[in-house]
Amino acid sequence: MVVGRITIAGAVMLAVAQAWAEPTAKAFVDRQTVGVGVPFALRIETNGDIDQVKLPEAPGLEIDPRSPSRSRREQWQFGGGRRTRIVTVEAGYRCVARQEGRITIPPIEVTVAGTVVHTQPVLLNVIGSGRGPSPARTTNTRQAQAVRNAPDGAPQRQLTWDDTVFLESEVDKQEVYQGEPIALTLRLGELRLRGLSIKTVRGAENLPSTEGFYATSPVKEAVATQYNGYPYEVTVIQQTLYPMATGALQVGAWHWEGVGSEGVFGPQHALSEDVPPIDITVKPLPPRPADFSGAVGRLSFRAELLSDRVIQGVPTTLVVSIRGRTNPDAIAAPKTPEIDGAFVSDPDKQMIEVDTPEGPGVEKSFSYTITPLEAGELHILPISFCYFDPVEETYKTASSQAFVIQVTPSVDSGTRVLVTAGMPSTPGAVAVLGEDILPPCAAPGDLRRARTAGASTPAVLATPVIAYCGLALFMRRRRRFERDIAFARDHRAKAIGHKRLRGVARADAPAQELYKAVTGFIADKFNVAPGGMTSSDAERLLVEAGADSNLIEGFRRILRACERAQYGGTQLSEDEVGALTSAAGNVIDTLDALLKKGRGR
Amino acid sequence: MSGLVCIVLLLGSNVYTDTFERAVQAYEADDYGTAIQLYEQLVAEGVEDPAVFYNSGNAYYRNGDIGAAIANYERALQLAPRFENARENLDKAVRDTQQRLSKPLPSVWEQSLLFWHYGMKRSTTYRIAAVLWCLFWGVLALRQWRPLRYTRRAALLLAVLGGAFAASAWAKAHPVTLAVAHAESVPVRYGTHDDETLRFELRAGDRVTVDRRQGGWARVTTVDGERGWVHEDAMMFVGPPYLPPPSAVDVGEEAVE
Repeated sequence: MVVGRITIAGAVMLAVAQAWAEPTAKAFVDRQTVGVGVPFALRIETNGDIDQVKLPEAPGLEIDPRSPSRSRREQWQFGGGRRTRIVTVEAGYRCVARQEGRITIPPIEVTVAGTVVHTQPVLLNVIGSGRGPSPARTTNTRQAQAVRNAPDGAPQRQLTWDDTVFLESEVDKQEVYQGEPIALTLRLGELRLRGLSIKTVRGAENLPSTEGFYATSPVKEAVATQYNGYPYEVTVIQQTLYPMATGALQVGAWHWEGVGSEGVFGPQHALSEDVPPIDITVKPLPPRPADFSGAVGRLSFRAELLSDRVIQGVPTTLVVSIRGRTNPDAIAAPKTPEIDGAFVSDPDKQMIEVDTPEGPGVEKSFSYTITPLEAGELHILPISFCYFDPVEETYKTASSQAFVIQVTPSVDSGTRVLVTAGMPSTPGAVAVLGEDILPPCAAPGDLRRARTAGASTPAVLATPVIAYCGLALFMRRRRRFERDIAFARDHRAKAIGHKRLRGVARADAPAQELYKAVTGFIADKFNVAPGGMTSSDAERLLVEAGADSNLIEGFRRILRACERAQYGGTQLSEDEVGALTSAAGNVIDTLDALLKKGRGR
Repeated sequence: MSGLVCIVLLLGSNVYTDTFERAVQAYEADDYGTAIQLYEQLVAEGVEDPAVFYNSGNAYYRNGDIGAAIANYERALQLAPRFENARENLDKAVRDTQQRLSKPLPSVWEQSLLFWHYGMKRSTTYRIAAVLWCLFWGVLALRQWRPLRYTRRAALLLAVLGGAFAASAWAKAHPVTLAVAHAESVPVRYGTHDDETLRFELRAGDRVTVDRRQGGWARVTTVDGERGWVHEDAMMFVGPPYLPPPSAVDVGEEAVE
C-alpha cells in the first residue's frame, strides 16, 4: 500500500517535473557557411514562450531586429510508457554578413517564461559573395565569376557584354526525404548602368522544370546590389519544392535570352545564359506508422473549439490546424472525432500561406462542425496527428488536449429535424428528411444486343466517294468527247467502220458503201474530211502513220477494187463483196490496234 | 435463312425482355440483390440499353451501393443524354455522397466546339454525320453533272456541318474514361505503390477521370484538377466495357482517416 502511494507520488512529481522543465534556449543558423551580403536566417528555439530577446552585436554581422518570424508547436512524445508534452517556440531573424572570415555570434540572452537563459554561441564561416556557400548551386560561371571574382570596390577591369547578365540556380539540400521541403533560389542579375539597356526575351518567366516535385508558386523579389564595383539588379525567385517520388530527381536547366544595347540607337547584342540542372536524391521514408498522415516537415499542430457552451442542436466548430513547411496536398485530415450524442461532419478544408522561420510555409485547417443532439456534457477525445520530421529523421505524433462541450437543452426538445446526408440514425431523436429516387422503367422497349462496329462505317464513308469518283471520270470523258472532235472520231472510228461494213451486203451499191466505210474509218482515225478521199490519199496517211507495207497494201487493194467497181462499170459478185468486207474488217482492226499501240508507246 | 435469323433475334429479344421484367419484379419486391444480378446478367449478355443501366442504378442505390448506382446512372446518360429520370436520380445519388464532387468537365476544346452536342445520342450524331457526308458528295456530284449556282457554298456548308457531327460522333465514341469510387474510402497516392505518400482521399460515389492505367493502378483526376494514383479495384469504370462493380475491394493500406 505504502509502496503504491510512493510510486504514484513519484509519477506525479516526475510529470510535474516534465511539465515545469528548466527553460532552455538554442540558437541555429540555417547555413554554417554564408556569403558576404547573402541573407541567411538565425533561429532561436526555446521550450517555452519567449518574453524578450536581447540580440548581441557581432563584428561584421547585421541582425535585423524588426518583425522576427515566430512559431509555436506542441506535441506529445511517447516513450518508456510515458507521455511527454513538448512545447517548442521559435523566433527567426534575418541576418547579413558584411565581412569575410569567421564570425562568432555570442550567446543570446532570451527571457523564457520569466526566466533569463542564454543560447550557446554560434560559429559562422563567411566567404566571398561570389563563391557562394550553398551545397548545390549551378551558375553560368563565365558571367557570374567574371563579374564577382573580386571584392566589392572599384571596377577592376573593362566590362564586356558577358558581364551584363548572370544566372544562378541554387537548392539548400540535394539529399532529402520524400516530401521534405527544398528551397530553390534562382537569381537573374542584370547590370544597371546609365545608357545600358537589357531586355529579357525569354527566361524570366520560363523557370526550370520541376517535374517530380510539388512546387509552390514562385515568389519574386528585385534586389539592387553591387558586384565588383558595378551596380546590378538581381531578381531573386524563390520556390519550395516537395519531392513526390523517390530516387533521382532533377531541377531542370534554366535558359535565359535577352537583348542588350547601349543608348537608344546603339547596336543590339543578343545575350543568352544557361545554368545546368541540379540533381536531387530523394530517400524513401522509413517504415510508416499506421496513423501517419502523409505530412513531412517540421510542423506545429493546434486544435481549437470555437465554443464550449452550446444549445442542443446548435452546431459548434472544432478547428484543427497544421502549420509549417510541408506539401499541403500531402496533409490528410485527422481522423474525424467520434462523439457520443453528437453528429460530426466531415471536415471543411482551408489552406493559407504563412511565413515560418525556415521560409514560406502553409497552414492547413480542418473544421469539423459538431451538432449536439442531446443535452449534457459532450467529451471530445484528444485528436492526434502523426507526421515525419526530416531533421530528426523520426515520426512524431502531435496531439490536442481533450475538450468538453456543455450542451443545454433546447426549448423545443424532442424530435429535431435535420436535413443532411450520411447522418447516423438516432431513433427518436433525429429524423432524416430525405427525398426518394424516381422509380425504375417498367417498359424498356426493344431490348437487343449491342451491335459491334463492323464494316458499316467504312462502307458508309467509301460509297459516296466511290460513286462520286465514278461520276467524275464519266463526266470528264464525256466532256472530252464534246470538246475534242479528233478524240471522239478516233474513239468511234472502229465501231462506225464495222457498222458500215455490216450494211455493205444489203446496199444497192456495195462497192460504194464499202469504199465509204474504209475511207470513213481512215478519215475518222486521222481526223480529216472523208469527202473526196482517194486510195492515194489513204495510202499517204497510212505511210505517215508508220503502217507496215502489208497493211497499206491491204487497204490499197480493197480501195482499188471498189474504185474499179465504181468507175470501171464492173459489178462485184456477192462472194467478192463478202471477201472484201471481211478483208476490210481485218485491216480496220489491225490499223486500229496499230494506232492504239502507237499512242500507248 | 433470313427467316431463321429473324426468329432467333425475336426469341433473343423475348429472353432479354423476360429477364428485364423479372428484375423489375424483384426490385418491386424489395429483392434488390436479385434485381442487380438480373440486370448485370443482361449487361453481361451484351444488352446495352439506357433503361437497363438506369434500373440497375436504382437497384444499387436501394442496396446501399452508391458508387455502383452513380456509375450506372452515368452509363444510362452516356447512352441517352436526355434521359431525365436518370439525370434526376444521378443528382440525388451525388447529393448523398460525402464530398458531393462534381463530375470532371470535358476538355476545353470539346466544351468550346461541341457545346451543342451534349443532348444528342451517339447514334444520332453518327447518322446525321453520315447523311451530311453523303449529301456533301451528292452536291459535288451534282456540280459535276451540271454546275449550278450555290453548289460550292452548299458543299462547303455540308462539309462544315458534316465535320462537326463527325467530331461529335468521334467524341461520343471515345469519351474520357470516367470512373466512380466504389469503396467507402479510396486513398489517392502520389505513385503506384501502397508506400507512396497519400495525396487525398476519394469517397464512395466520387467521379474522376482516368488517363492512365498500369499494374492494377489508375491515375485519376478530380474536377479540381487534383491528380494521383488509386487501386483499380476500388473504382468502377463507367465504360464501355460495362463491367460489374468489383465485389471484393482491397484498397491496400488503410486510409489515414
